[in-house]
Amino acid sequence: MSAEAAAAALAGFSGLAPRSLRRLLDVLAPSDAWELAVRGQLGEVVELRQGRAREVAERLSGVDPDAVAASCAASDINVLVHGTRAYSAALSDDPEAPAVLFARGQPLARIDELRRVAIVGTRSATAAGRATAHDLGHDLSANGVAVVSGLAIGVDGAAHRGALDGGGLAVAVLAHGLDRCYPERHRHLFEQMCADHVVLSEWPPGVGPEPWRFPLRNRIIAGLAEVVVVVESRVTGGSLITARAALDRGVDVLVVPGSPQMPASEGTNMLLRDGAGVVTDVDDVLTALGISHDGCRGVAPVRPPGPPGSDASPHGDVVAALADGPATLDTLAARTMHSVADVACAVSDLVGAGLVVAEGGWVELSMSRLSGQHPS
Amino acid sequence: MIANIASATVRGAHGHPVTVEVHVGAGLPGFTMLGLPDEACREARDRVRAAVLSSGFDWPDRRITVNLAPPHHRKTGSGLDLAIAIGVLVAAQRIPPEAVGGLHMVGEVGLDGALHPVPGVAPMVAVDRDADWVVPVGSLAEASAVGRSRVLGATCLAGVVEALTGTAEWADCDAGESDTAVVDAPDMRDVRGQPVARAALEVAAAGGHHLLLVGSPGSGKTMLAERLCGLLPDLTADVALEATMIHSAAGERLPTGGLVRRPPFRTPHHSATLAAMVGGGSHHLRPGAASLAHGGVLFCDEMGQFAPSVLDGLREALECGAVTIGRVEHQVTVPARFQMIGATNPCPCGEGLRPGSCICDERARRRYSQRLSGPLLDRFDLRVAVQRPDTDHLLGGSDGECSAVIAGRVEAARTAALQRAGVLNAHLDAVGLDRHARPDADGAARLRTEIDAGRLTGRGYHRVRRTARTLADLAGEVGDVIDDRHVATAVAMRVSMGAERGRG
Repeated sequence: MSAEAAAAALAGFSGLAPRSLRRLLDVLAPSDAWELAVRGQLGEVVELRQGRAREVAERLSGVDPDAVAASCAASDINVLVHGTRAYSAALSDDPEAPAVLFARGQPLARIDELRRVAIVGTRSATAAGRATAHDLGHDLSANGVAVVSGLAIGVDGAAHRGALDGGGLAVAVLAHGLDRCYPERHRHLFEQMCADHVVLSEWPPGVGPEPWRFPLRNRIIAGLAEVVVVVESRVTGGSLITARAALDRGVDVLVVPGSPQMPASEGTNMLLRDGAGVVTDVDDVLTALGISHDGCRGVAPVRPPGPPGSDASPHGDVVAALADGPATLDTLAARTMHSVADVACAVSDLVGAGLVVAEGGWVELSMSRLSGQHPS
Repeated sequence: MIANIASATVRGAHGHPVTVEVHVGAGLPGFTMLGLPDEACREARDRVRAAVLSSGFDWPDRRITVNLAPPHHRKTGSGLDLAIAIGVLVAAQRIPPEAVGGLHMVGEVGLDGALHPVPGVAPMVAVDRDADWVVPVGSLAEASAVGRSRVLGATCLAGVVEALTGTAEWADCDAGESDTAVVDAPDMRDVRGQPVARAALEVAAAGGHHLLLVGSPGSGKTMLAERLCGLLPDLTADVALEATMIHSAAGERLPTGGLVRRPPFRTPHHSATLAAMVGGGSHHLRPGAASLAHGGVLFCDEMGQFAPSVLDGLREALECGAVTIGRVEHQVTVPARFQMIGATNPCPCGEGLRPGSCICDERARRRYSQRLSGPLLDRFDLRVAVQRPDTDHLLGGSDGECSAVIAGRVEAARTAALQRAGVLNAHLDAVGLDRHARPDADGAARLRTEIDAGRLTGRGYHRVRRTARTLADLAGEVGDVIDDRHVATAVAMRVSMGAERGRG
C-alpha cells in the first residue's frame, strides 16, 4: 500500500471533514494514518468528538486502499498529497488547502507557472452573462492567464470554453470524483479539459456530486485564484461563497456590473455595494493582476452588422428594447409599438444573425457586456 | 301470465337493449330475478315491491320470475325498475297488455312510487330512436333530444299506470326545475396584456391545435385555458349528440334542452386516476374526463404532476379521437375527440424561463422535464410561454378584445380551412400541408435556418407549418402560400421544452 493509496482512501471514504483530514495528514504519514484509522485510534492524534474514531474505522472497514489507487490509475487520475513536491505550490500555502488532491490532465506544476484568475457565476445565466464569461475567459487565456472555474452550466462552462478558445490553460475544480462528469451536458468539455488542461478535485473516484460538496469546492477555486471575477450571481448564489472565500484570503474580487432589474445581477450588485472592483474590460482584470495589457486581445470587438431591413423595420427597435435586459415577445411588442408578428420576424432574423438569443419565450442580447462589445 | 317490457341499460356511452320478461304464476309467493343483474339492479326487487304497494296497487302474492334478456350480459344500475314494475302489473293483469305494446321504459322507482332519473337515458333512448319511450320527467329533456318519436314523461308509477290506461295525461317537462340561469362563460375581455398568449388561444381555437402553456405560477395559464371554449363555435349536430350521450352516461348534469350544444370544458385534477381520465369501472364503464371533453377542451393543469400512465393513456385519444376500454367479457369504445390544453411550470421553482432567474439545480430540472414525455409534448402544435402581465397592464390597461369578436374571426378561419381541405388545420396531413401550407421564399429560408441551427426538428417543421396556416387563415389570407410573417410567428409560438431544451 503506497502513501498515495492510503491518502486517497482516507480522503474519499473516512467521512472525516477536509479540515480534520488535513490536520491528520499534517502530522502523520498517510500509511500510518491509515493504520490508526482502521484501528479506531485516530483520537490519539487529532481532536475528534466522542465515538468519531470508531465511526471512521467502521466506514473504512470495507475499503481497500489499493483498489482506490487502482481506480485512480484506471481513470488517469494523479493523487497528490499536501506537503509533497507534486502538490500545487499555488495551493499549498492556503490554510484550507485539501490534504489530498486528485488531478487529471496536465501536470499541476503548469498552474504554478501561470497567473491565475477564477471566473465564476450563476448556472442560470443570461445569454449576455455567458457571452461575457466566454469573452473574459478568452481574453485572459490569450494573455497567458490560467482561467479557473467549476465546470458548472452557465457562467463556469462559458468561461472554460472561452479559455479553451483563447489557447491558454483552463483549470476546472470539481466537487466529485474525476471518474465521472457532472453535469452530463458538459461531457465533451470535460473530456477536452482532461486531455489538454487541468481538472482537480479533492475527492477520489466513486464519490458523487452531492450538493454539500459544492460550497466546499468553492474554497479551492478561491485558493487557487489571484483574482476572482464574478460575472452574474443571485443573492443566494454559490458564487458568493467563492467571493466570500476569496475575501477571507485577501484575493481581489471583481464584478461585472449588470442591470438592477435582473435577478441574475442581484448578487453581483450586492458585491459592488460592498466594495468589489468593477470589470468592464479584460484590462481591468489584467491591471488587478499587476500585468500590463500586451495588446493580445483575442477577439476584436464584434460590431454587429447593421440590422437587416430598412429603417422602418423593427429590428433596431427590438435591439434597443433589449438593452435593459431580457424581455418577452409581449414586452417587446409593447415597447417597440410593433405587432407581435413583426417582432417575431425581427427576433427570428436577429437570432439568425447571432445577435440575440430566443429561448423559452424570452429574448436577450447575446453580446457580452464587456466594453466595446455592446451592440450600438 | 307473461309480460314483456322493452328497456335498456348502458355501458360506456352506448345503450344496450334489454327486454324485461315477467312471469307471474302459481307457486309459493316469491320474487326471482334472472339475467345477471348487478347489486343495484338486484335491489330493484324490494324497491319495486314497495313502490307498487305505495302507489295503491296490490302486490301479487304468487310466484314472480323476472328475466332480463339477453341473459348473458350483465345489467347494471336502477334504470330497469320502471320496466320491472310495469311488467309485474301487466303480468298480474292490473294493466291490459295492449297498453304497453311498443313502449320502451326507463327509470328508477322510489319506495314512495316516485320516478327518478338515472344516468344514461340518452344512450338508452338511442338504442331505438324511432320507438316511443317512457322516462322520468327529470330525463325528459335529454331523451327528447335523442328520441325521434314520442318521448313520454311521468313523475310517479301511478302516473304511468293512469296514462297507460287512459285515465290521465303524460306529464310535461317541468320547465321550472331545469337550470334557466345560464352562467356567463368567462370572456377574453378580462385578459389584460399578454398579446402572444391571446393570439395563441385564438390560433388554437381556429385551427384545432393542442396548446401547451408554459409559465410561472400566477401567470394566468388557467385563466387563459378557461376562455378557449368561448372562442369555439357550437358543436355540430352529430358531435352534440355524441357529447350528450357521453354526459348522460356519466351522469353529468345536462344543459337546459338536454342537448350539449356548447363545447364542454373539463379540468381533471392532477391526482386523477387512469380510470377517471379515460373511463372505467367494472361493468358500467363510466366515460372518463377525456370522453366528457369530446367536442370541447380538456385542460390538464400542472401537467407534470399527472401520473405518467394517465398522460400516456391520453395519447390513444389524441391519436384516434376515441378511447377503447377492454374487459374480459367485452370492450367498449367511447368517442374522445377533444382539444387539449396543458399547463406546466417550466421547472420546479417556476421561474425557469426568465434568463438568470431559475434556482433549480440541474438534476431537479431534468427530473421535472422528464415528467412530460417527448411523444406527448410533440402533440402540441402550440407551446407558448406565458409571463405575468406587466403591472401597468393589470392595473391601468384597457380591456382586451372580447370573446365574441374573436369568435367571429375564428369561425371564418375554420370555415375557410374546412372548405379548403375538409379538415381543421391541426389535422392536415403531410400531403395537405404541401398543397395548402407552402411558405413563401422568405419563410422557407427562415424555416431552413431554424432547422440547420437545430432549433426546429423535422416534426416541428410540420407543426409550425400547421400553425402558420392557421395564422394566415385568421389574417384572411386563405391562399395556399403562407407569408413569412406568419411563419416567424408560428416559430415563436413553439417554445422549446423539457428534453429538447438546452442551457449553458
